[in-house]
Amino acid sequence: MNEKGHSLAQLLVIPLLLLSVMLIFDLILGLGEVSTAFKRFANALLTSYTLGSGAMLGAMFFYADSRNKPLSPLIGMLFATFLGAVLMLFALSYSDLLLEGNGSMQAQFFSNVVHLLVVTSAICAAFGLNAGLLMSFISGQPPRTMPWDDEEE
Amino acid sequence: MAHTIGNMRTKETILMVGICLSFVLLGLIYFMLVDTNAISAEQFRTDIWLAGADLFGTVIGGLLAIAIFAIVITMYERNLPEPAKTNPLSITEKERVTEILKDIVGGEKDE
Repeated sequence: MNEKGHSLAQLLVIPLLLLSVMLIFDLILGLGEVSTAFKRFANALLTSYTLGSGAMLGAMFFYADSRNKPLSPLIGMLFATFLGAVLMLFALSYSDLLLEGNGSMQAQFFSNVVHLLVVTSAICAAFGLNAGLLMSFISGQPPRTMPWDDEEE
Repeated sequence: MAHTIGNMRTKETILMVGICLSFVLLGLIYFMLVDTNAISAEQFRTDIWLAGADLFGTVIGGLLAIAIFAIVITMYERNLPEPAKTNPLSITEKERVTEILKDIVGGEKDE
């Protein structure tokens, strides 16, 4: 195969094939207990959004420093964070809408935070591992020679 | 050295992505079918959904927070008033500018 002949479809053909096989197996053998997956998704989304907005509120202070300290973007971001927190508080305290086997709202909140930390660590580890593999793969190859002679100084 | 890293590496990229994804997916398929001491196949299939929900929820929530941060900044920047017009240069300032330009265009002075 030449260097220019590869496309995105070629790149993803084997993984997509395996993913299809996995989904077919999942459908044939049964999907398992999926009802809690929606709760988990909503919990993860709300927690990630609220804590992410809080972090962005911190970043907004640095932005305000570079713009003569305006209040309106700070208030806007504070409102966005507050909205996320209120939504999460409401959803967690409303019956068992988002409770996943935890006895109380506080327990569910801390469970969500722990899940967020685990997922974030997993994403970081995956990125790090891939970056390391890529670098070892590239640097492990013998250096390619140029089609022309080196310029002599 | 710069030419040997990251340039013309399509083949290696395909190998990397293919090997990584295939390895992960093969592992997932194996544990979906086979009961092990640590976890049953049925439980593993359930956990895949939970892990996927966790992952997607976290990523979407984070992206939403970043998008709102960008929207707030964009709205603020758009509502900023136009900067006030400055007064034209005075005669003294014009003379000073001319002097500087002459220095620059004229190059180094002979001493």
